[in-house]
Amino acid sequence: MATTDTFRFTQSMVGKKAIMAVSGTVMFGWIFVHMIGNLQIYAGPQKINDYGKFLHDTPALLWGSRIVLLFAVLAHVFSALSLYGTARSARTEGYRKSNTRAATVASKSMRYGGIVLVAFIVYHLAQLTWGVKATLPQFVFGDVYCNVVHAFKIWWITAIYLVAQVFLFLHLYHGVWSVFQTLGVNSPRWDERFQLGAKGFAALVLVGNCSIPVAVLAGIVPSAGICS
Amino acid sequence: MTLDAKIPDGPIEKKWDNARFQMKLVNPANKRKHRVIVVGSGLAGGAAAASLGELGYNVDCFCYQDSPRRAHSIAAQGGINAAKNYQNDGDSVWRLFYDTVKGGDYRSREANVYRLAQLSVNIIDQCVAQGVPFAREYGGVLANRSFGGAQVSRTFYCRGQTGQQLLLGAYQALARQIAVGQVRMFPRSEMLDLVVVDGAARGIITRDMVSGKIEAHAADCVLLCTGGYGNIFYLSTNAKGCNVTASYRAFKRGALFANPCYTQIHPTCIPVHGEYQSKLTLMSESLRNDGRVWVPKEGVDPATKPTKIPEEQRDYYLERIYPAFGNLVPRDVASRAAKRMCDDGRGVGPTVGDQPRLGVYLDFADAISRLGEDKIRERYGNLFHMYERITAENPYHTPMRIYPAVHYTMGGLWVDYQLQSNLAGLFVGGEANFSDHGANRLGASALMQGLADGYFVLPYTVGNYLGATKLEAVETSHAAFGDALKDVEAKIDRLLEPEKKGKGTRSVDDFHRELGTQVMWEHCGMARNKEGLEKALERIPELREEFWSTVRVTGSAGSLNQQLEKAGRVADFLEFAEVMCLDALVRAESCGGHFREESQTPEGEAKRDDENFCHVAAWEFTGVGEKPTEHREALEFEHVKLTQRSYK
Amino acid sequence: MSASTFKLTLHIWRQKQRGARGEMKQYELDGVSGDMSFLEMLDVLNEKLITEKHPDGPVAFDHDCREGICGMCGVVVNGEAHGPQAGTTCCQLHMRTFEHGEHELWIEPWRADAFPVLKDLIVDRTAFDRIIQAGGYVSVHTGSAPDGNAIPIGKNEAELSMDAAACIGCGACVAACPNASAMLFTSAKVAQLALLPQGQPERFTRVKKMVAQMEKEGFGYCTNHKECEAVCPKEISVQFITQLNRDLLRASVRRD
Repeated sequence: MATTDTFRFTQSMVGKKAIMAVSGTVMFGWIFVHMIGNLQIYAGPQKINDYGKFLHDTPALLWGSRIVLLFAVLAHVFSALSLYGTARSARTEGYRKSNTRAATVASKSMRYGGIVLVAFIVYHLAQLTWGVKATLPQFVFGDVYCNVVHAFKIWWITAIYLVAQVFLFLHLYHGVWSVFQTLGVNSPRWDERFQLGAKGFAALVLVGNCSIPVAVLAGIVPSAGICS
Repeated sequence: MTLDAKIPDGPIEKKWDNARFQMKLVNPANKRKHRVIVVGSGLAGGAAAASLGELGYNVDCFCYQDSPRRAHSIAAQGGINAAKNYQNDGDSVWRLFYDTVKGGDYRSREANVYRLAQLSVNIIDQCVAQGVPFAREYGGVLANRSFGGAQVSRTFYCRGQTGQQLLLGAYQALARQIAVGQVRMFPRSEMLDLVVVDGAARGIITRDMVSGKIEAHAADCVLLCTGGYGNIFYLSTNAKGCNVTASYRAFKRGALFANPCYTQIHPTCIPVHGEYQSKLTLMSESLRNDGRVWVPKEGVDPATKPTKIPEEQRDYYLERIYPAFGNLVPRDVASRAAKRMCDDGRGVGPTVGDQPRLGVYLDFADAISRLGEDKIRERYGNLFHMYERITAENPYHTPMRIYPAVHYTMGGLWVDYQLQSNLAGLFVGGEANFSDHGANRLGASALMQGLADGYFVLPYTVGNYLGATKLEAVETSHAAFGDALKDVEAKIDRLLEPEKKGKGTRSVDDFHRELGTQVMWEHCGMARNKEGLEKALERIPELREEFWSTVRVTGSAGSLNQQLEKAGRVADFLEFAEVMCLDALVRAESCGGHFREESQTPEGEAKRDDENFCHVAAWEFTGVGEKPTEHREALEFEHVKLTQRSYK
Repeated sequence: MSASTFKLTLHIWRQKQRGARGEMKQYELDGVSGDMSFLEMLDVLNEKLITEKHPDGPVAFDHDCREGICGMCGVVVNGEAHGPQAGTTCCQLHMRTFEHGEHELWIEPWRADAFPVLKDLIVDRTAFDRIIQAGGYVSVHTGSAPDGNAIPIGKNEAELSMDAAACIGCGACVAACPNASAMLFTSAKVAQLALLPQGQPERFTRVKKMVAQMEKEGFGYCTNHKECEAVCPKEISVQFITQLNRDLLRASVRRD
């Protein structure tokens, strides 16, 4: 018989889900800020490069947020892996014929979508943060504007980003609402609003983030005479 | 054998107090030395097992379902009566007592019924404390409704699922005792015999329904809370697993079976719609509060769509015959009236096989136009929904069709005031005993009786027995257990034998269907007569003979085998049917749910014969196929005057 | 009333006993009427298998009240727990639902490691009982209750509590959950008692004990697909899962 004393919230599945909700919220907040920052590209090279410089000149902010983010990612991924193991062992013999009624493309995509997103994040960091030459030969440290432009002028890189954004959209579509459900702040009165809000935010991020590569590829973001 | 009900002395309102004061108590330290077996985990069994566990007894509780939470008490819809008088409408313990004795057509024991009415108030308190979500008024107090023709509002309810909620309350209390190890639960276990040592019940034989293992269990006393035997009719509102086996095996071991012919037919069930039908569905009789019952007048084609039959061609026969009570007459009266209409060829609905149309209309059109569809949906939405799912007809637009079905059995093992049978140490609670409802049970009283027995009577009387009786230690190694084990195993082998020898030709269900629908319902159903009962008594032994020689039970004894389970139950029904028909034959009067066509008023109402039948008939087993011996307990009425029930 | 009958091809999971290897077997059944319940259709199939002396023998399936309240029955039909009709146990599901659709049905038992198959379509659901035993009750001895009206309970609270209490413990939520989670079942009992004043003293220890037991039984976790709510024959809302989550969080930061 389980007793109160032996109950450890963070060891329980509900607790791990709460960890995922909290870390997911942190990441979502970061994604949103990241998007706002990136949208400055429309204000020209000066603006966004200054923004990049500002961040690098404020290491407390940059590294503080990077560390928080790193912890959030690790907590999110490890909780997910641990929970996935539980779910796997909860049904070792599956149905010969299966069907779902309420689950959505978004809710079903959480696990593999999460893997796609991790892979994308690594690629994205390599390309535009670490400047790994193999991913972007023209990378110049500190020239955010041109790095972005060089990358997205290549159609298949834009395509990779767009696909990743679709997965991010699905992840947020289900995930942001799930936060309210998992942390127990949802209620029938608020449910619809939370769902709409989650979908709205997911869509906003999708549009905001996708606009940049598309704009570059379409030539809306000027490059002639700025980036060689 | 003289039947001593052991009714305590004193005025009726003091009897239970006196009895409790005179009871022997068991020292708390000694309680844990006693083991008690409870068979059945419904309202009576679940409540008794939990309460006895709380007191400190070691309890072994058995049920055939996979969980104690599924006992058939769960299916009761309407509510539970209690003389709380929260509505200030003139209710009292006396009135509930009086109504119950009258409703039972003066065939119950006054002292028992009075105690039931007294305890009714404690039940509500207990259940509320457990977290049973009874319906409430906006001010936060408990809500009540009037039910089953009662003229006061004394019925407490949880939507249309009162039985479920009360059972879950008892189940949770039981779960708490299981968790602390005070109760050992044996689900998917079926009691197949009672073990009697030196005239006292000391254990049971069970079959583990998963492994097929036959097991012996010893204890200091045995409580049977195993429900009713309505499934003898094959089609009834009982759950498919309900059976007489536990009670009947106790009967075969010497316990007396009282008033087996008292069966209740519930008027508002969904009519039979096909030959493959496996059970009947009851809809709460609260429907009769707003629905009007009618059939087409003579000369109107009963196949006409009901909405096409004009008002003047409808016969609202309950309102016509019983102007005072109208559609709210008691269950037995409403049921028989429906049968008369259908026997006259005025029934409605489809024909099944070669039967006449068996159904009458229950029409909500008036109520809908008076109160609006929303109000009706609020009151009966779940029932209308259920009806539509089963029949594919929309009762908001077309009248419902209803027909009576077997619902409850008032008869059961004979018990005294302490709920102890004539066998020492054998206690019987709930529907399995005969005690409180007489010849007819009022609506919302079954839940009340089950819980009164389980929470508030058995925990006392079992303690009294254990405190007052010197019991030798008995282990399952005792010869009586060995003999019972052998009997049970031999019987199982016999059930499998015809198929093994290649002689098995008919399925168990096929036998059950014939016994139920062609013998019992035909001759021992809503209306009985001498000729029919004698015919039944002739047919039953033949059918039993055929059963034992040609029943096809596939599979083995040592595994999960649902055919074998059913076969054992049907075998007992095939013996018990004789006792039932015999009791119905000997009781040549009409009373409550027992209607003998020979004993009726000129208007066709039940006519009691208090001169000759104001007694409990308790039958003693003398051998299979042998006529059981009848013992009588005279019923004395000091507080309620015997009158002919009239609902006109 | 439908007078005509139709024919079905049934694929049914057959398994001799716990731990044995099972497989889907195919049976043809003629003469199915729309007015039959799903279980009556299985009765008819069994009657046929018995009379034809089919070597597989009749199909074992759990059932009892056949009016949708006992929670004993439950099979997965074409991938859906209790079949395609919302808010309906399979004993109340009628064959007319299938009359004009696909005439091929896959019938499987609840699948979850916490619900091992005992035979054919019968599973062992005692894990649910153990979750209740862990704390799904109010600790009140028989006889120690105050008057029923001593604690006023608002109509809305009582109704909401009843919404949760309506759970029949059939296990469809587990069967339908992609993670075989028992959160809807557990939360229904947690919420029923947490919503009532009687349940307050044990509210936070209860939720911890019940969740701990649920996890010990090997059920999966909740990923908010809401499949449970969609198949629940009593249409119990996932809002009770939110309540469980909230109470568990609160319980974990409380000292008691």
